[in-house]
Amino acid sequence: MSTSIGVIAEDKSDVDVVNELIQKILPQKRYSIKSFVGHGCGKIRGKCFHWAKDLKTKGCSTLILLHDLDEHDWTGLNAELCQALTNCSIPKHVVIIPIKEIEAWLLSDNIAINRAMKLVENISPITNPQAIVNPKKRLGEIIYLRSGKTKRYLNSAHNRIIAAELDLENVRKCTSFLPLEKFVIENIK
Amino acid sequence: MDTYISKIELRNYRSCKKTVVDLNSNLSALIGVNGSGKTNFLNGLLLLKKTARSSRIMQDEEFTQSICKLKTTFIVEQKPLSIESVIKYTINDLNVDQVISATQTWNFKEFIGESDPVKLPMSLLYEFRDYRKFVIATQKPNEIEENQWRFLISKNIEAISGFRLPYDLAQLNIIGNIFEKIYNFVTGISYYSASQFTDPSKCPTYFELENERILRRPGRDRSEHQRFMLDLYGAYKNPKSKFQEFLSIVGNEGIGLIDSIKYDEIEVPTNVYEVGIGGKVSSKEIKKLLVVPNFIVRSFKLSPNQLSEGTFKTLAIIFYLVTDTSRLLILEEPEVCIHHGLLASILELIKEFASEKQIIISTHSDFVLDELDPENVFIVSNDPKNGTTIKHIPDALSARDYRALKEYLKESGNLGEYWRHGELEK
Repeated sequence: MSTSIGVIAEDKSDVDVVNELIQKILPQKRYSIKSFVGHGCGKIRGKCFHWAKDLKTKGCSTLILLHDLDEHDWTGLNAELCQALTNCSIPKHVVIIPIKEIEAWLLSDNIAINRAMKLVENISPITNPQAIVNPKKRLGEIIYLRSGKTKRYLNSAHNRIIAAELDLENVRKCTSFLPLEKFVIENIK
Repeated sequence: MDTYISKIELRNYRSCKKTVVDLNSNLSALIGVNGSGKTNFLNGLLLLKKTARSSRIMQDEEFTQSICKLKTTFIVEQKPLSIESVIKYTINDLNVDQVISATQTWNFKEFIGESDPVKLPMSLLYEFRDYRKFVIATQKPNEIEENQWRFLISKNIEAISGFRLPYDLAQLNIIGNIFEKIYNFVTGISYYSASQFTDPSKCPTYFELENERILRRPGRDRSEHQRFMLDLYGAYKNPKSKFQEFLSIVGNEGIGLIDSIKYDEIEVPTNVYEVGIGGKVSSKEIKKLLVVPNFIVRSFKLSPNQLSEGTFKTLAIIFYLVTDTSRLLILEEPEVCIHHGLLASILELIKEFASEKQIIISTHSDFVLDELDPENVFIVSNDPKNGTTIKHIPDALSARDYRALKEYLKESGNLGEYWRHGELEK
């Protein structure tokens, strides 16, 4: 029987990215993802406890709660999300906060973006994607310009495709990714 | 954005007795119960476009008239410009407004210093388009602007409006340039609604071109569906269009609605006969092209009328979002017939394009609101005394209630459910 992993995130594309990354971290592992998406910070904080209970009932033994940092203070946001999961039905859980936005992880691998989006002009490597103020916007600009203005970036459609091409070596440039990798290796067996 | 509408005051138009709203330069979303006047307000705004094309085209006495006032404040080059329009209009059998006449008063104060308002019909450029072409074709490039505007403004406006313009040539050129910007903005306003693209069975399965011009199918009116098919084909044939960008969004690289679009183009030689004086018959061959659009979906070849309503409508909305070159796009109820997963992508696109042009949407969907910030949302209501009123959420709520909303969004939930369960519209 395959393992069920619960994921709570802001939108479906975040869940898709996490799914692709777990496949890369544990390529031999059979698992399924069950998820809830919150469309906004408040919704996740207000509902995550009850969603975790539902995911537990559906057989999830681990839970990943993912929330972009955006303009928040990391320490405060982390504390709030951990607080919301106090006495959570799934004890093996982790709060992951990509610095600014999860798209910074995608920007860590220029080759993955080139390949996934079939860009006409290659993009250069980005040394520190977590330093980008608005990674989603930057990714959109890069794709639009490097496709010869023929492709419009849609995170709902493209994040999964790009994530599928990522090389973990590059994603590790993003420190906010490391707790996810560690959690998956230690808890999803 | 270089040019956008910052404020609208609409009086005596349908339910809009005195409707005043400050719009966002990017995205404004109207919410409100059925009958609150969202569509009336948007139709009132569209009257402005109609004044640019149809001033003085009808005889006043032939119609049952209504008169409304529309004051529009534009921001042009970061300065305000107001235009007050008094519009006589009638409503035809299809419940569509037809402008009978309009007088428009412009205030160029911010551009040329102290000045009186100038009466300037929006339709002026339309009426003098042939003259403009003549000027552009015959004058030396560096003389075009001066001569064009000297003629247009200092002569013809005086003649039309009976108003003598006390400006020098430099001021006239400033006025001319601003006028043209506004004219282009207004004539380019685009409008799409959910009802336009419903029931794809109405869509023709082919169309004919004669010498590269469209032929009407006998017995059928040119519907919005056909217009979409023609626009799509036009974009497909134009290498400078955004057809590839559209295809990358709706195709398998994007939201995967279709695999691709193919066209069968069949040349049909046709002879037309003319009988001259004396009975001499002559024939002429004309080039006809039969165009059959095929949508490839999961490797199946489908005619447009075989597409589901949601698919057809989504394709149309995305096509016009991507290819529309207007500076103001009005989109009514983009959510109709669309699955929430797909709707998220459409909203993502709307927000993306709202950074390039002004967009106004109306919606009944709490899901749409989930994707928006309170700053994007305007509450439309209607009461017998005041008619339609439109309030921006930050202004509609008391300071305490707005703080409560922000707190709720931060701590507990999102805007759509707050709308559904809370008292946002009270």
